[in-house]
Amino acid sequence: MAQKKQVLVLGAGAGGLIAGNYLAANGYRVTIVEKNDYHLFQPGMLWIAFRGHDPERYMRRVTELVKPGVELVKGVVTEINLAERLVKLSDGREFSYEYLVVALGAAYDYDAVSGNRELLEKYGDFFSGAEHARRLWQAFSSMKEGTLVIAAADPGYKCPPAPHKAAFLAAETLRERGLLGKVKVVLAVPFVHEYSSENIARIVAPKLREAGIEVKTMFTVESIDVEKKKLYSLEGEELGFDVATVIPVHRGPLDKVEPETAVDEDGFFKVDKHTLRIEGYDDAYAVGDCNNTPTSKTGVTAHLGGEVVAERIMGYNAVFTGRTNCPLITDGEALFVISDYEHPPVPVRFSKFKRLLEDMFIAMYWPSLRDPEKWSPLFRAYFEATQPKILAKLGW
Amino acid sequence: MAEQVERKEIERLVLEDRETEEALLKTMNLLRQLNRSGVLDLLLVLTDEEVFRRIINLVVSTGLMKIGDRIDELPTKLAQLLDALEEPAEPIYIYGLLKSLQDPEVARGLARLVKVLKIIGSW
Repeated sequence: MAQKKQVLVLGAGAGGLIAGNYLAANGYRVTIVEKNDYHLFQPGMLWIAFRGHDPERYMRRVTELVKPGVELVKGVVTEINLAERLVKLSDGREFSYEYLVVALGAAYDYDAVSGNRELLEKYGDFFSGAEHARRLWQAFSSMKEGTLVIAAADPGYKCPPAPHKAAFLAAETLRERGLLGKVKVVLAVPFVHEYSSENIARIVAPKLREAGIEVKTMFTVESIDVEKKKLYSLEGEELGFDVATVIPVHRGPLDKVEPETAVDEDGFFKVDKHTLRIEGYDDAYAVGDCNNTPTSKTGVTAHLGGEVVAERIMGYNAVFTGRTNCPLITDGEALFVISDYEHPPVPVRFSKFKRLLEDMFIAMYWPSLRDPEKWSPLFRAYFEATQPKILAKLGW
Repeated sequence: MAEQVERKEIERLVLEDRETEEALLKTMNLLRQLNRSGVLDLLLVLTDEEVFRRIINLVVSTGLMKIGDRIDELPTKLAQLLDALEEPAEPIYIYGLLKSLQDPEVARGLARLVKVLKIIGSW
């Protein structure tokens, strides 16, 4: 019997681990290259930054998340040459492959907006790692009065409800401490409505009001004056703050990709949106935040994309639908922003049940990364039952 | 290094911590009882991947998601219904029925009843 093929996976985030472990479970020889020792459950940064949770709760050693038999290489990927089937690391090591899965996530450009790096260094943020989230908690939790501003430098950031969740969690903490009102929470969004989708904005807006959160629409941060404590927007307005955090501009993960035409002007890998195959190559795929699919950059899209890519390498005709399932959490309730390529976000209501489901998804996060083949039936059943085309008619 | 520290902590808990010792003993007893009664064999069947898949496909459905979403409202609404059923009620006839339709809540209730009848009729 011919030996199964060798797959090189770049990145041990959700998409990379699911693709790599799924393939390993099916007999493929898998090598995963990862620069970090720890995998961070990214939504956890919100709880670290605004609820003061211990970062360790949201971190696992990567070695615990790969199946036995998967070769784990610690290193920083600096270059991919698709024509030569070659990947180079910063320490000079080179890897060839039969199949390549790029799952390197998005990079953050804190220099795209003047003052944002300085703001990050001073107050931290809830996007770029546990240490920065911890710093934001220190700045936020020491506020006794003033204004906390949560804003974004570009509408194309990952996890679209992240700033809303941040605002809800911050308001919850302030309410518990009897400080809501003395400390004002301002959510500045780069959209016409409170949320990028009008369907969801209609549902979220009253909840934001109820939570005592002030919303500023059409505010895309263009520059920041940390000394004067002012944010300036592309739309020509300004906002004062005492503590602020601005979601940075996102870019593709690598400076060097051959050919250059494999990535778009922002560095994201150009892929077929249904197969996630890098344009022009039948042996290379890009999963999750590093590709240019016209869907939200979220954990669920990385998860589902990882499965699709693994199955396509295994010879199945798996199709990526662009499905999202972004949780938007308030105090005790949640809704999911559910959409796919064919359907805009479905109007669904906030409920305690959805919050419980989200808690269950979080609990299943770690085992589903390591053993995706075992947990896949459960996720598939859920995604089948909550397809946007069904919920658009029935509501949820 | 971190793994060694973790292993040592586990060893310490198992060998030296009274609470862990007690919890382990209780767990062992529970497992023995489950084994004796056959429940453990039933639980082991549930870990079979095919059985797990069948159960998931049976349970996780659009209908269940929708029911679950309202489950926290059900007790309140059922309690309201039970209260209404327990209240003493005089019989009403056609004229009384027509008169009670002037109450907008009764009129809305009738509209909802018609909707429910439509659903039952479609089965």
